[in-house]
Amino acid sequence: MARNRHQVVQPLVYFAMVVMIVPLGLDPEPEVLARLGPAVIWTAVVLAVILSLDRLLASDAEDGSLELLLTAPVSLGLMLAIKVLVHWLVLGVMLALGGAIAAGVYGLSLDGVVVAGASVLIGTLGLTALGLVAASLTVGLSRGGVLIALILLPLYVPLLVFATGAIGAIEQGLPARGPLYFCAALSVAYATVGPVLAAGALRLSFD
Amino acid sequence: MWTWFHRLSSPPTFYRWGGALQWVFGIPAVVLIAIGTYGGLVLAPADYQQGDAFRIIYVHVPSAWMSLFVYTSMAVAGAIALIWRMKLAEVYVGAAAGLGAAFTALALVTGMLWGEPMWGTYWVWDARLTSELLLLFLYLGVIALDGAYVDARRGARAASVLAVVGVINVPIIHYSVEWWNSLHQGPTVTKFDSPSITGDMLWPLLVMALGFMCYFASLVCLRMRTRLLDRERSARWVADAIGAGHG
Amino acid sequence: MAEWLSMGGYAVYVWSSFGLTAVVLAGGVIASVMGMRQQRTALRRLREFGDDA
Repeated sequence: MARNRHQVVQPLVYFAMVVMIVPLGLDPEPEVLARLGPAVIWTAVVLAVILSLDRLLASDAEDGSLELLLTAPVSLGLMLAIKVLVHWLVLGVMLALGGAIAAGVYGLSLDGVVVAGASVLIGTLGLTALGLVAASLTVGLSRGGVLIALILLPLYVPLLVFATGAIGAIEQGLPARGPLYFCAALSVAYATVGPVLAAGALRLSFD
Repeated sequence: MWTWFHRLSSPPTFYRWGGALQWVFGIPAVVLIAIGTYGGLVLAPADYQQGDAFRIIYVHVPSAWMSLFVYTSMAVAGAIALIWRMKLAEVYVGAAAGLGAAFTALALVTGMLWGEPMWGTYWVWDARLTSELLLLFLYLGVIALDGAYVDARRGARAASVLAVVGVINVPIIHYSVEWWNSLHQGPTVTKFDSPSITGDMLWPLLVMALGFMCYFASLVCLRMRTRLLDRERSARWVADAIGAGHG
Repeated sequence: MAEWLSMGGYAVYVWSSFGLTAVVLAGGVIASVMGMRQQRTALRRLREFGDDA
């Protein structure tokens, strides 16, 4: 699907921009960069994911394939879950690679680089699932994009906290396992419940 | 039993009863808040450690309690609206959101005004303040969603879903920020704890809390009635209610 | 009396808090009442000029 390539490239470009601009605005002192690294990387990840959400449902709503999905004999929740998985496997994996590279550029330790990549990989699943719910609530609105960001900000915080906390922990020599498990638990929970809620929300819109 | 419930939850019935409830709650609200304010500002003894500044809790704590209570009630109503398709529950979500957001903002600002003289800082990223700030954003999301749709019904339903999604996240948010705090701040976490309270300091707080609750109940009835007029505008009872009497 | 007003030196904070609370609570009442009035007026106008809701 040629559409998918565009969906992926733009968010990645934004991610790269944020990650590269921040050091330019600071003294490139290694300690400062390393401390800011997790936060900057994750800010860029969140921005990239939010940007990609518009395309998750909006383009389907535009060309009518969304209504087809609603009337199909297969469970809508299941189809949305697949959407989330595919979106995550494409965008999430790329962002995880980007995050790992950025972590290296920001001077994190090797462990930090690994945890950074892992946290992004794990976390983007949850971000995508929550994003789907937000997108399904605003589908068809002309300025839905701003609303999506407003809705998602508080909902993203727990994932953000544990993901950046994991990277911060490993950089201080503490185990990152705990926060990463929490991240994974949250992501899986969101990925399980999210599609169901999104399906419900979509049905409400098209009733 | 359900027919009684259904009759009670019909828009024209609620419009009538709600009009009375506004006063049933409204007058006690004024009285209670007046008494609570007098008790808090005049009667309660000054705190040993915080002096007169502690009196801010008489507006800060009730606001914070209301902010949490209102959001939870919105989530319950939202769930009822979605599961049982109850119109009134849907309308409650939108009507309560603005008031809840106001309470949250008030709690945040009074919290800041309390924090500055007591702990030398307006803001601290501790679990409670940060969670409260995020709660404000949750409210804003519900308000925005509710108002974004031309069709009031669609907006109300979307807002209901968001309220339910949000409430599940409130404890998660709180726990995550608490964990983050323990990582970064160590033992000095509970900066914004209230002073130890004695009986003669406590009663104005409870009175104020009750007063705020009555205030909320009164206004939410009014706001729900307003929304019902809008939603059901083509219904016969609306014409009668606004006294137009046109056929 | 003056001593009470000064709130042990914390006058600015205490009175700002209570003042802000009063403003917010009153504002809520005013906004809600005006909302109802506006709604009724709008509906009356619709009735008079033909309902196209």
